[in-house]
Amino acid sequence: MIVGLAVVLLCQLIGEIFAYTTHLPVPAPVVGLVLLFGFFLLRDRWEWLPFSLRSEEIDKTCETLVQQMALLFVPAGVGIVQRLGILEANIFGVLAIMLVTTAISITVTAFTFRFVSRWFPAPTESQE
Amino acid sequence: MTPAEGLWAHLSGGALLWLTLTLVVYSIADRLSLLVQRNPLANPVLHSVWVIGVILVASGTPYQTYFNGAYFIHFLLGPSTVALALPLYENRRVVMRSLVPIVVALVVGSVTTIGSVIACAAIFNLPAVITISSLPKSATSGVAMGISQSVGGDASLTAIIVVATGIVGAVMATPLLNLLRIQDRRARGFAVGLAAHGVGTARAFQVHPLTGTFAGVAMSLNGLMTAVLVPLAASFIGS
Repeated sequence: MIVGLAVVLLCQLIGEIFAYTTHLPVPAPVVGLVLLFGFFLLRDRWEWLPFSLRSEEIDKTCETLVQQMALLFVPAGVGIVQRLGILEANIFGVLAIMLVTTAISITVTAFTFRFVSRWFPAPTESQE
Repeated sequence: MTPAEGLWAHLSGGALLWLTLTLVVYSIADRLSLLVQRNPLANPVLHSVWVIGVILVASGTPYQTYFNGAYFIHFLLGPSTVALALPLYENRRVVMRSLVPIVVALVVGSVTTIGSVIACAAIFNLPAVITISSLPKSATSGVAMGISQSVGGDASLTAIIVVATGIVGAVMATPLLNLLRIQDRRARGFAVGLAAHGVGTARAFQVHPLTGTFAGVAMSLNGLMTAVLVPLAASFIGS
């Protein structure tokens, strides 16, 4: 657990340093994700890595974090108690943004994905 | 001050009470959601938010006091985004095979989301602060709040709109995609992850691991895409 958390935080920290020093508009956690993904790929090849970095521990930590992700949104969501005034004053517009644009977003994305994947069928799908 | 009032003052000022409250309320909401076979309307985030909100208002607790305690949970949003590397790694072959639809759906979906927010704001004549704060609504909280701040939005307002978007997306995704007759798990997952970030991704993982993985891929890519597009859109609105 601790090694796993340390590795995850380290990836995010490097991401933070990268985003700060390059001034690129990339979110630090997304850079961290790319780094951790790279680490997982290299881990399969680098047999000289210390055991704790090759153990399943890191995988288990990640699994827990991903599985419990929904919980993590609760504190920010409760912030609604602070902004009830401005939201209430613009209730119809805010509702439209939340309901309509989210529905549009899901619909357009799903149809685009399906449309394009029919034009570019997965090359080796039939072999599995 | 009575002993009870003294105890309340002691506990409500610290982190322990609010951290415990968040975990207890969420655990109950999550168990209830399981009891009704993960019906989308029983979304645990939705019900935790209003229950805790009512408790704060009823007890006269300022949000900042609550957040100081709940911050320990909030902080993990970043690490949980990093941790999405695991499902991505485990499903890298199927993801690589769908690279073309992923890239096209990402660009089209992200532009559509931001464009539809601008259109909606214009129709309802919303104040600029709400419009700007809503632009990154489909990116995950931690990412969206950073973007909002950098373009002059209200980060707290963004957090609320983002979480609400996530809840709405997670609740409507299954019935909406069924109605549209989209059966491809990759397309379903990608759409909900792009539109409803982590809350949608959590929902997608409940449905199927493949759906969840594509949601996670969409969520992380859209975090990146939103970070690039929102400053452009904001300058367009400002001009």
